[in-house]
Amino acid sequence: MKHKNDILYILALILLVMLYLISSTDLFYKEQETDIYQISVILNETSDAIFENIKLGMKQVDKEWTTEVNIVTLYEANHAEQQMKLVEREVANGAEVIILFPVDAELTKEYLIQENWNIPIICVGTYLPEQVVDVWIHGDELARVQELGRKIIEDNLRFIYTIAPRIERSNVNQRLKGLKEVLEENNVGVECLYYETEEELVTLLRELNEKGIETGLVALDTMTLNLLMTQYRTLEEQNLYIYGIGYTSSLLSDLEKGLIQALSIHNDYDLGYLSLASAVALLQHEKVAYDQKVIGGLITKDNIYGTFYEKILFPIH
Amino acid sequence: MNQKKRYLLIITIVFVCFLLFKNYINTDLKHEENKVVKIGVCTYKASDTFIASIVTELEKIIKEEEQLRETTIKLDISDAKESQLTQNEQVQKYIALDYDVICVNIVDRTSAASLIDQAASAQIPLVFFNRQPVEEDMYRSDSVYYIGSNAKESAIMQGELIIEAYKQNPELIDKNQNGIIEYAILEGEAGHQDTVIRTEYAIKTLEEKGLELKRVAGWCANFDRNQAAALVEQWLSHEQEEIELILSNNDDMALGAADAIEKLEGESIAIVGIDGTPQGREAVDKGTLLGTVVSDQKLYARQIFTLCDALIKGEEFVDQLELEDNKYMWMPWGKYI
Amino acid sequence: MLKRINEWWMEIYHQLSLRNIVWVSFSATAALATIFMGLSFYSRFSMQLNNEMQMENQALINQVNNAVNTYVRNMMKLSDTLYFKVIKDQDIQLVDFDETFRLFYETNKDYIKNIALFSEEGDPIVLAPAASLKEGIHPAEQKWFKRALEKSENMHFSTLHIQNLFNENEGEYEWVISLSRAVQMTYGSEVKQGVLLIDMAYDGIKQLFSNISLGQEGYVYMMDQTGAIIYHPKQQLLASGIYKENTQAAMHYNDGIYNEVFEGKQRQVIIKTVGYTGWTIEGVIFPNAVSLNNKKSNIFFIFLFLFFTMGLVLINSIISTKVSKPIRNLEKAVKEVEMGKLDTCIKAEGFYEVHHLGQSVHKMAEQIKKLMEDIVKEHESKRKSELDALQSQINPHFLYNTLDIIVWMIENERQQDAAKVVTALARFFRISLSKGKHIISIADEIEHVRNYLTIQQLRYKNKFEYDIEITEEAKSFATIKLIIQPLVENAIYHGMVYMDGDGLIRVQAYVEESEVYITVSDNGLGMTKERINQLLKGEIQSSKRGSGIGVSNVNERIKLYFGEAYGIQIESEPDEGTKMIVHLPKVIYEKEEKGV
Repeated sequence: MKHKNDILYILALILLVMLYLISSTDLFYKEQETDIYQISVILNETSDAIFENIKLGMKQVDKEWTTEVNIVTLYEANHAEQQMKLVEREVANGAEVIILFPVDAELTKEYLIQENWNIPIICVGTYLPEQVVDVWIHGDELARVQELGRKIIEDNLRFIYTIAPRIERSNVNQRLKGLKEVLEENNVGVECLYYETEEELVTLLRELNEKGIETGLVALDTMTLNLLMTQYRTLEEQNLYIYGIGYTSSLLSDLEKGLIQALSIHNDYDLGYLSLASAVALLQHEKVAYDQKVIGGLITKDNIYGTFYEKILFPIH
Repeated sequence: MNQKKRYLLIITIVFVCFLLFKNYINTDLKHEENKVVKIGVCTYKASDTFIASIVTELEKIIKEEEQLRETTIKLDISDAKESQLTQNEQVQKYIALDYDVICVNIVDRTSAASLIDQAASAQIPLVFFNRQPVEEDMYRSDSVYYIGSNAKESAIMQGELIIEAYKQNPELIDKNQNGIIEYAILEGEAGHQDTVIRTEYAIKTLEEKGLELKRVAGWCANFDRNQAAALVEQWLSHEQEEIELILSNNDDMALGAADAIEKLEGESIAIVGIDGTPQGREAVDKGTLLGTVVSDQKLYARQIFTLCDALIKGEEFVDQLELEDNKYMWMPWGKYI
Repeated sequence: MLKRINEWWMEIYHQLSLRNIVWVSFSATAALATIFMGLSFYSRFSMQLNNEMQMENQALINQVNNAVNTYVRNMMKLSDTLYFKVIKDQDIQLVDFDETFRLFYETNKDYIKNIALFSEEGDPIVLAPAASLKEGIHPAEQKWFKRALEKSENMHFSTLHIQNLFNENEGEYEWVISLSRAVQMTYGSEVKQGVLLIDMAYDGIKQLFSNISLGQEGYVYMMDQTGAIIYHPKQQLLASGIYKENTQAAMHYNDGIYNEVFEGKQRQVIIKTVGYTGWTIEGVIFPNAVSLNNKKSNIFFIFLFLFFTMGLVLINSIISTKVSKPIRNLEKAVKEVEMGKLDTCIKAEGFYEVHHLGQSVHKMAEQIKKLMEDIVKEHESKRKSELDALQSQINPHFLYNTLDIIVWMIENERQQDAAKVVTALARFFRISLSKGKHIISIADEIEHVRNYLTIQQLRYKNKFEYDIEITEEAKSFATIKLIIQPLVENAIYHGMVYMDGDGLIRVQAYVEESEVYITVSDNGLGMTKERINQLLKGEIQSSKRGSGIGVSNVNERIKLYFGEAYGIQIESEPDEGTKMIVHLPKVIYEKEEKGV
């Protein structure tokens, strides 16, 4: 009888101590706010120069939740396999969620099914099915490319060149297809040019520039456009009608100055915000919608400073 | 009596366990195993071309090193947009995320103290670069370092560069051949240590070498290309006297002056800058600028990385670098003409 | 039903010890009190906290409002100073404003992006800092310019927009709010209109709102009269529609506090208007933002509750133990007494009732002790009597005399008689001893007397006759042994001795109602009443020649054994005879009997 009492007292004492520790110290349980989420963002380019606005969107999430965002760029341009290796590396380094901008959708799908990394994957841009990724954040590629096509037609161009990296990229292919459809319907000729190195690009650029006639050039991805414009700005004469997809503040400057005719854009800020917000929500075990679309539009010299697009093009931060 | 003793014993055991347990768990929570090296860089203004080129070079170096060593090095760049408050927040964030080294291009050189203290208590080394904190603050902690270049040296070189060019071809600079060089000067930020020194020593050097100078115009353009362009445009439109030489505290402003001249389609004027940014060097190659004083940005970035790397590896490695006063690393200047 | 419960409760209640009852009831009361007080304090405190928070929030909004007001006024003052002290009444063609403008700019660099003075046509006159107009931009077409000239007596604040007048560095863009006004400029003798523009850097305004927290989820935002957002912590998300704000409603509110429901959430909005501009500051607060209700706090309360309860339980336990200790000690002592240890020391301690009980129990124990001693004494005397009786069972005199007679008879060739006496003697002693038993059947007792009489008759040469009558019924009852023989002995020595052959002793045993009677009657001398008393009291020594047990002894033994109601009655008439009546209770003689 006495022993039983003793044991009860000891247990009670231990219970008290445990409760105290749980409630008043951080030993066992920390209030949720101090959780730092480890999230890795794997881009599809070798530098993050064209992702400025996306990063701003992510920063907004960071205000509400503490996140440690690791932005990883490729070593080699358009190297899809390498991108997968980087995903593997980030997972091994402790990433809790991966936000991926796939270079090659098919390859990515294979890897995701095969490797089964068991952490949430958020896909931005190119389409990947719901079985393989948790969230797909994207703009309306088709609508954008159609708008661009219509602008080209509006500008009375009979023939355009498209330029893109030689290595297959899912988003580029998609855009090309959409653009071709619209243009060919309206009897605008399309010739696809490809480049591998920057020198090649420069050469192509100069060649086209010297053609003299109304030559239209459509850059199918933002990085290409960026590289293109860096060269184009320095040229003595600028004879091309350049169209592009995506935007940075310097590209907008070019647009203003008339070096670029039109830019088809998605709301990059929202892409960044939604991707990181979805990541955090998934880590907090909340329901997140698979298909998340962001708005976009066609920007020309005239509507940069209109009210609606102004906020998208120049995010407040 | 036996019972009381028993109770006392139980309480003592529980208490001792608590103490031991507590220490053990606390350390466990705090330091998670991290194989990833994290370096934070806080720039004062990302659009400053000199800083921008250093950062670009640094990113390239990091990528190379990553592939060489087969580890992950995370480099995070923050832009303070000339606000010390913003920069403080950015540094605090790196501290909170337990970065291994933080490189700070401080906005206000008198405000380093609190940052140094915070980093010191978190045991994270700070590497200031390009904008130097006040000397007392540098000694607040042992793990504070500075990589920069000697402003005086650069200014003297700027002067020497002009003198050499003058000696070679006087008419290039003294257009009206009156033996006096009428110059205008574009100065940097009002509070910046480099502004005063660069201005002072450039002119001193010229004077010491016997050139006669006359200051026609001068204003501070905040190291900013556009502001410089606007100023020069004004001067050229309004000034009665001709300007033969434009001295600029940095390349951006020199380029701004060149822009203005191009816009007004006026006669070319000898313009000299300091920094040796890619754009500046290109302009010198083209002939738009007379010359500039180069601080090799590739080398700069490499040195920043070397110091960071040594700090991460440990004390001995830092000692090997043989820094001045165990804190300072100086970048050399070179003339470019 | 109630009765059943009551019964059941009573059963349990009887099993509970005082200590447990006290302890449980104390603890339960204490626990209830703790809970009640705790809850009261909690809700009171919570309420007070909420009130405090509300007041603080309002104060905070006021503070922000003041800051914004100050900011706006400063900008306006700047514009005023520039106009009235610098531009007005100074001949533009003669005076250079550049230096002054630049000075103003440098001093206010943190808040101002650009200061610019334009002519009526939109040509820039003074720009600080040095800047160049963007190609293709016509200031005169822009809203701020037009509005300034439209209402030239007022200052105009534009909506938040990107600076689109001057060339920026590549990749840079600035959000500004333009403060514009019409100015009169002197050109020699002419006075012309112009516009003074101050582009306020958005960062300056943003800083006024940074780090303002209104509880966990609350926030502050500012909008202009048209409902366009100037500052909102989620500004960028509002633009694309990901996040929504209730600006529609807020636009119609005047200054004050309003409760509303937006996007399914209850919230409170505090509105304050900023002077002159028509901007309004909205503070959105979510009720229950301050609550003590998070996991850790809850666990802490549970901990606190358990801690106090256990503490109280422990204390109560100690107190109740202490209080009930005397009773328990008493109970222990009583248990010991129960078990027969009458000498247990019963401490009279504790509070009054227990103390009194202790004393009583002690007295009781003593009494029992005394009674038990009495019983022991009684048994002692019983034994003594029996011992006496036993002793006298073997009276040497009677034996010698009887043996003498036997020898004489043998010598005188009266073998038959001798054998008769020897037999009778043997039987007599056998029954006297009765294997040590004290209780024998009446049949045996009568047999004992018969043998005695046989011997005595022969000894006393037929001086008397005897007669023994015993009913069948009486035979089976029990009696203590050696009660009749002494009476007969008495009758012989005191009655028959003087009779000369006419003596008659009659022994009868019969049952009447619930008693057994054995009478010994003789027709001898008889005795006086006094003698009867003396005899019964034992004051007369019986003859030494007899068995030694007196009549009184027999009486005593009967009373001792069977009780005061039984014993010997003596009826006697001097010279007529004596009748001794022994009456006993009806007790069946059982062979196996527990002897005393």
